[in-house]
Amino acid sequence: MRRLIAVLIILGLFIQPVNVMAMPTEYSGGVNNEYEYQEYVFLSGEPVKYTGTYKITETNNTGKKTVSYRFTLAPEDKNLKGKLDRQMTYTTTYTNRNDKGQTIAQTVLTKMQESVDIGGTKYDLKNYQFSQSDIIDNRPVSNFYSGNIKGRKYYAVNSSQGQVIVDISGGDVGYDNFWGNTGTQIIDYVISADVQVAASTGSSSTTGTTSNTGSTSIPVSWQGTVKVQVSDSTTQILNYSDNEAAYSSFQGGFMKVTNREMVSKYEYDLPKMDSGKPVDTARKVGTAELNQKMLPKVQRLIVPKFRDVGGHWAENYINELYSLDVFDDTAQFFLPNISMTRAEFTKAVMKACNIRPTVDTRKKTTVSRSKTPEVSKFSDIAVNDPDYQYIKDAVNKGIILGTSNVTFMPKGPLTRAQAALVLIRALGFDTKAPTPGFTTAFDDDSKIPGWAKDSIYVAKELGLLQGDDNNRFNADKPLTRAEASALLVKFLEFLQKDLQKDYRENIMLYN
Amino acid sequence: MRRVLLVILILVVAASSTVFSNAAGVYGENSADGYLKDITKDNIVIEDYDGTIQTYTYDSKTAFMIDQRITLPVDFKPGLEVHVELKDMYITEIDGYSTEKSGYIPEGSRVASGTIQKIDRDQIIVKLPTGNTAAYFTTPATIALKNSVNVSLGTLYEGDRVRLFFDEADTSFISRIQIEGDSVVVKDIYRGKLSTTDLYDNKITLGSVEVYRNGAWTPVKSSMSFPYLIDTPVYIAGQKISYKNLKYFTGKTVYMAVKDFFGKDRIEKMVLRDQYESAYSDKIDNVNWYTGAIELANHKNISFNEGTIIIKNGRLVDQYAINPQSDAFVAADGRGTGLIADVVCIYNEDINNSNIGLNSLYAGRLDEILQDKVYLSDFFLLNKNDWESFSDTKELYYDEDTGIYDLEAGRKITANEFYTKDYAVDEDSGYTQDNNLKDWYGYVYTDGDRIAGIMVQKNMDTLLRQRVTTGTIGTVTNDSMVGWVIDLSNGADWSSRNEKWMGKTEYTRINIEKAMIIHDGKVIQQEELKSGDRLYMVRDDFDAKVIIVK
Repeated sequence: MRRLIAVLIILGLFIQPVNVMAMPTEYSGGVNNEYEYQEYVFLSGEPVKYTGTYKITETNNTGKKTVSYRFTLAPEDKNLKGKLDRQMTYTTTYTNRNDKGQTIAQTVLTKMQESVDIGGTKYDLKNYQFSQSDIIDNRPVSNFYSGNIKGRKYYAVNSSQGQVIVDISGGDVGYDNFWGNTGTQIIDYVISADVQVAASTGSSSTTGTTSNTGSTSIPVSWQGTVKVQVSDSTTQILNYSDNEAAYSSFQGGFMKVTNREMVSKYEYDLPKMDSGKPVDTARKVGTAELNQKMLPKVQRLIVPKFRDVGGHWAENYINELYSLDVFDDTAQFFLPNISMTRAEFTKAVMKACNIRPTVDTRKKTTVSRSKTPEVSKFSDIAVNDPDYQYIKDAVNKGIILGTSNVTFMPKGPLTRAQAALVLIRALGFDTKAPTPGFTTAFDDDSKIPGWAKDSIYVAKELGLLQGDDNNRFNADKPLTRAEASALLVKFLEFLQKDLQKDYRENIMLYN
Repeated sequence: MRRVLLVILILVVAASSTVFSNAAGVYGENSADGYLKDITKDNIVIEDYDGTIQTYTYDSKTAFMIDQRITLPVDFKPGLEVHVELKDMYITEIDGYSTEKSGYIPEGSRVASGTIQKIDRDQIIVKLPTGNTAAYFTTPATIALKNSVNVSLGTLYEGDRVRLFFDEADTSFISRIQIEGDSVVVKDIYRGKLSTTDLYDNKITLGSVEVYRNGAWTPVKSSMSFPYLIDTPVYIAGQKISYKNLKYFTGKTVYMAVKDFFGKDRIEKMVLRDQYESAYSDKIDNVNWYTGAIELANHKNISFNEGTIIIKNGRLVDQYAINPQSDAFVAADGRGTGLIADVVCIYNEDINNSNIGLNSLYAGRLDEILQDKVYLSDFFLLNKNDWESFSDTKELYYDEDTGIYDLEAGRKITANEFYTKDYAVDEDSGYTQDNNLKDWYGYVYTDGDRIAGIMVQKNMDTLLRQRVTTGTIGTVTNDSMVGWVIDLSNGADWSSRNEKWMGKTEYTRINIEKAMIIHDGKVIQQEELKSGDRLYMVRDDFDAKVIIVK
């Protein structure tokens, strides 16, 4: 039995969840909430909105994820006869490059079936070629990914009345962290149609009908482009909720609200049809947008009861972090105006960003009796120190450095330079600094230590840390617990909102 | 034994004069400089600049740096120039030098984003998300993109949201500007009674909802819900309130500036009315930013604050964008003389969006057309919304990209046709008189002295009958009887007599069939206009002559 448990534990350790990438539903620019899916279909040369139900099945195995989609849709315009049935299965294989902290995700199509009826004209998917590859940079606080997509769909029109080819090319970007995830696809479709239309009646693609007679039909060719930008974004924010009862042991408290929203924008340039034939001199150019939101999920958090933060300028920041269990001490007094220690800040960052897997697995991995007792890398922090695992984990992840190779100074006051280093390294953004040898814009640049310069430069660019009124950074100035709390909340807001904005609004509203 | 020692001593002394030296030769030195020759598990071999090769020890306490950045031994490879700090023969710190180009960033990799607060030719003041402002500069090489399309910098408005890209780490010169597309434009201003607040969905529900349309609050629905943007604070009587306290203001009137967010309306800014509404549509005589107040032409003093919804050129702007002598609709909150502006909606529009733009509109006789040049004589220039006449000749340039439209033929013509056909003739020549030819007339839209678009016709219109109108397209229709027609909402006509924009209280129906339409410096077709487009136009009653899509 023990062996079985041991095997299960080991398996549990190895079967880590595969890299989760926030990703819009399929590759058609559609959006959905829990109940309904919507997308625009352009196969007829007209933007036709379809709505209906969907089902997504995901299976995760070691290094492999399979996602199956099934859509059953109908035109939103009830006057237009039609139907869309689509079943797709995509398999993504993850290749971890732990030496680089990166993962390559290769996605292939393993199953496809699609049939679209637009006003009586049937488009049957005969072939679908698809290739997607993403690179995921796994940083301590967040994973960032970027990828490329290429595909081609071949549809037969009414079995034998022509063909529509949809050429797909584009890419995706996204991030994924404890506070949210956003995945944005930008895909260009080039739709080429060679179809037969009735010569006399000129049944047009506006109504989506083509000739069924065969004998009186004429060949018509047209080409259109559709640029689709679609984003799936989840973010968690903290909201304060009052306690309506006056006679209660607490005033109110924070709740964590998780919101998920999908938005989509289609920009189309299609032929203008006249009696079913494209007009050479004019095009139908326009945009269409979709927006669906899931029901928010609510989670109440513990109620802070510090006795010395009421009325303090950082009260809200401190309470938020306490509610999130980032500050977990049981003291009644927070002492906001004393210095934050290096160990406390390190632990707070680790907890705020939920960087816990290594810490959680610690207990499991230390079961073995025969294992050599762990030796602390630093002489000034013992293995049995409650903060040890957090510090060890942070050092191993490169988030923080010791004050020397053998000392950490856990009780030492945290300086602004050290705080910048921790936050920027946690994001993995220290490489975004210029090549060494630059000067920062601060007047006391000469006092900024070389090891912190990259982080301070990036922290300023991100708006996490600014100089004082005299444009001095004051790299060696210790942060008080209140200041550190404000900085941590700002950092969390960066993860909650700024990343979302950068990966969604800054892409979709500007392109 | 002594001999042996002597031999060893001689050997040691001899060896110290060769390229290899042993440890005894550098004891007492604090540092060394040279090239890394080898690195092993415990030792580092360095060739000094003088050619001496030394072997030093190191361990896990040794600090490894390259270009002042902390690194690991694995980054140290033979050939690297190094400086070592020594304690006897032990390396306490080793610094390598590798960076070829100090302070380099990849082109465009430094990004700043924010809202344009002020434009002054090549200087752009941007309000950053941190709340600070920063000054940046454009150059002739600065690329401007809007909806992924390359546009001129003149496209920029105050209130535009932009992303700025820089090629150097410490420069203020912008290499590329990305301008937010149509989503930046305020779609509507609503007014309603606060009914419920949903903190989970960031949404409010209002009763008796009205929209500001054609100078009046027009009922829309008895109940509507709007999501709001939590980044923007809510104000009441100049005081900021938190969203969690919104529920205590149930029943109060809310003013909202709403933008489109992927097909759904979203509140971008809202303000609660504290007392009673007074509405004015008048000229702002003075602005006092120190006290935060405007004085209207009717001598009403109305204060404003961070919470005031200020809309100019369809964009939300801050209080510093209010210019004296602007014409505006003001919804004020208060009673008697104590009024606070909740909404300030400025009518003013111009051909140019800022002083970056060099666009002009001319009307005149085509005196002479050369292969790339046109001479306009007795021309008129639209100056501050009025036609101003000049008894002069104006030299303007055209090219293959100039949009040239023959109104009589009802079609676009090529530059070659424009040059070779009889649009400008020598009216004294026999050929001209025999064929009864005369110079044609044109409306010319220019960027500097380059013609971006020109519409020509046989006869000159009576410009005195024309007026300048602004507004937002409600609908665009192709009427089978009269051709392309638009309905303009929130319109305003420029009154020369009053020197003031006069807001219209009705939809204005305008025929655009024979109008030259300019969008982003290019001539476009009527069917390319869409609902929501903001227009600046010269019209003769029902007929638009020149339309500039703003």
